[in-house]
Amino acid sequence: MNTGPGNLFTGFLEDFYAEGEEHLASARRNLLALEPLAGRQVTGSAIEELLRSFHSLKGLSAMVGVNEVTLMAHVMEEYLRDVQTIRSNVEPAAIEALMDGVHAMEEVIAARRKGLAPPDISSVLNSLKLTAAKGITEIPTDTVSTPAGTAWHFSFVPSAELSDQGINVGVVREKLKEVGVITRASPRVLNSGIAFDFVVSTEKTAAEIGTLIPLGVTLKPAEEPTLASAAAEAPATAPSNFVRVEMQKLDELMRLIGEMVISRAHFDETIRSLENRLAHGDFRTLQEVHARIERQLRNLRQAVMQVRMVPIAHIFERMRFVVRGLERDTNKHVRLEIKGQDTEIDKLIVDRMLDPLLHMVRNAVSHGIEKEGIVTISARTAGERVIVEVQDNGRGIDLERVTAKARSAGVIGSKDSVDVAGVLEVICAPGFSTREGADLTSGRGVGMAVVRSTIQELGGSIELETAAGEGTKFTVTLPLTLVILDALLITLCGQRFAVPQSEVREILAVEALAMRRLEKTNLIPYRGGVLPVIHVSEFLKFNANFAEPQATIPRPRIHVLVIGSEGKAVGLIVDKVTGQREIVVRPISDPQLRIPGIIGATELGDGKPVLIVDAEVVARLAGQQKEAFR
Amino acid sequence: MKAHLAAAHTYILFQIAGTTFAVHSQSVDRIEMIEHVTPLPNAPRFIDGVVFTRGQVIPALNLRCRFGFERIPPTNRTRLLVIGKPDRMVGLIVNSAREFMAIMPDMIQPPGESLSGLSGEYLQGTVTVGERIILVVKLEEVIRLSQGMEEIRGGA
Repeated sequence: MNTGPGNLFTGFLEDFYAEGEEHLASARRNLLALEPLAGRQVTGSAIEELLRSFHSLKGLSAMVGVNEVTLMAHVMEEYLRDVQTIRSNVEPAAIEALMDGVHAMEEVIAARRKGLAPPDISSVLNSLKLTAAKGITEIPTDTVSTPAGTAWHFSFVPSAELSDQGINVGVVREKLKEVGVITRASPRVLNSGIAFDFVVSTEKTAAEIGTLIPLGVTLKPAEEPTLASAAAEAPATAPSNFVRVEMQKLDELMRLIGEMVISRAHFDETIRSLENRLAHGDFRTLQEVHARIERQLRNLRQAVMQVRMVPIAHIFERMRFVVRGLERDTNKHVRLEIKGQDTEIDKLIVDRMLDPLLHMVRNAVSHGIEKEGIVTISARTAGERVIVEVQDNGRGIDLERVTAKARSAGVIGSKDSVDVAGVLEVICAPGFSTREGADLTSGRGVGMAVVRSTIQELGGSIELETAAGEGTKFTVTLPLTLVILDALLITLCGQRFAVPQSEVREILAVEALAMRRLEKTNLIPYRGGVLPVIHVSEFLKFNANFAEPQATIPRPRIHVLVIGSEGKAVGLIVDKVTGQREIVVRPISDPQLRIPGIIGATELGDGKPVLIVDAEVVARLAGQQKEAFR
Repeated sequence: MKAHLAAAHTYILFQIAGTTFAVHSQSVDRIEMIEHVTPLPNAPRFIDGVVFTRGQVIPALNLRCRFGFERIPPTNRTRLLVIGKPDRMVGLIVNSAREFMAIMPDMIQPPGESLSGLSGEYLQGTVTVGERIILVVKLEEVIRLSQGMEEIRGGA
């Protein structure tokens, strides 16, 4: 499958991940719905939907060559189809096997996504095959019940020319969905590249189809006869009003708005500086226009943020599955209660919260609950923040055990002990884990340290309440939305700062000797002319900086950020430029902290605030200060 | 599962330059170890910098400095008292905060004439327990006053 043109295939893979995830989520839901009916005869929508999910997963995974998923989906589909045809009972063991199968598929896809080797699925596959209760010796490429209509065979050979016209396999597939129901999709390796074959079932005539299919697609009636449809009713493909959008595109939208926000601030400052130079009426008009832009920008920002919001149910629902698995592995009886799953939160936050939530729920089941108990996960909105709680009614955190463990792990001194107030700090310390090795339930061993740093990076925080015999509660506070921007990380006066990259035109490294002084201004050669440069550190005064004073050690080379527009450019001398990354902006709202030039703070994963500097404002203020000294 | 130290008339005691101060525990949201304060340039004089708490950026107000002493580097006994007001959260840096004490309202003597100087403004009164003299702090005043001094930028 590696023969296909790279970018095309990558786009296709992304599609597979997104769609695969949806099918897996639906499969999980339906398996859970099926569970109470175990041991009985089962008919109805759950089985049908499961069949549809597994069938789609089979087709999708075959298309991108994720064979493990194809194999598992196939066996599961076979089994369910038998269940449906002969109306047999679904045994509890079968449901377990199916759940294991879904879980294994998830792991395979996750590994694929990260470019890792897929996990070993042989045992899961074996138990699935046993469940299916018949030896499956080979995987036929096609065992599909075709919905009513005629089957047509389409094939598509991607090429660079077609790709230039925006036609790729994703587009083709979308188009074919308009034609009818895709019942089979598989890739075929050609000498020159790759071809995709689709079998589409439709009631449309050839002429109608002809108008729908894009360039580069050939069509002929399918050779294989349409199977007598087992499912009498056609699958409910309800018309959808949803568009699937790549997160990247939304991120880009947010970034553009972020730039507009900064420009708006400059616009505002410019207007203010004109107050005494303009006729009063003109000035008022400018102000009004500005106020309108500000309001519209705010609305725009909110609207885009709204697009990024998804219900937290996405990850909460998954926990049912996790708890179920844990119950089985630990022989405990756990009831999972979910509250507030309609609470909406930024997609990125939801995605990033999956692992922390997983870890906390696992902790609650494996460390909190003894024999049986309740784990509650809840979410609610409080102002601009979302509060997520994971609570169990188990035995509470055993402080003595934590103390012993923390001592041996060197997290605390050998004489220190852990109390309720300090326990969170200790269990979140890197290198702390109350269970040695990886037991069944500790999973991938994310650890509370990672849980906390993930939450902090998202701009959130975590708290813990625990009482012996009463239980444990983790409270996670998260921002509703994120403002993300690309920033340069710099050092000034020995301290880390972030500068929005959109403000920086260029980074220069200049020989210190090349700097010339004209009256009170330092100049460096720049693009055949000169560029005035400012020592920002002279402008920034700190009250309490107990770090080593970074005296003005003469450096052979100086680093300069070029700020401002052509003709008005100015250079800011910084100690170092240490990197570049995407940061989550957190507002600084306290009245005592409104410092000109500081627009917010961010966190780079270590819990320490890093200030975000508006380089243009700093350059201007530093320049003004200089002038005042003249 | 009590999250907050909510018992009425419980005071948290802390030391600054050898003197014991007390704040009503009800105004204190929590006490944190100070891991890292990010110095904030051009900040008001009493502000050491900013810290994150519950994902919020809050000021770290140096109480030692606020009470007229020079700054000293933090030690492992330095604590941050997080004052949680509905509209505003402020962190107070104190040298140590390890003791709690139940204080009856009638034990608090109004600040005498001798204390009516600078410190008189932010003192609710004094409590004498045996040999110890404890100064009870008017938190609102500590925070408000420094807010009034917002214009006084440090350093320059």
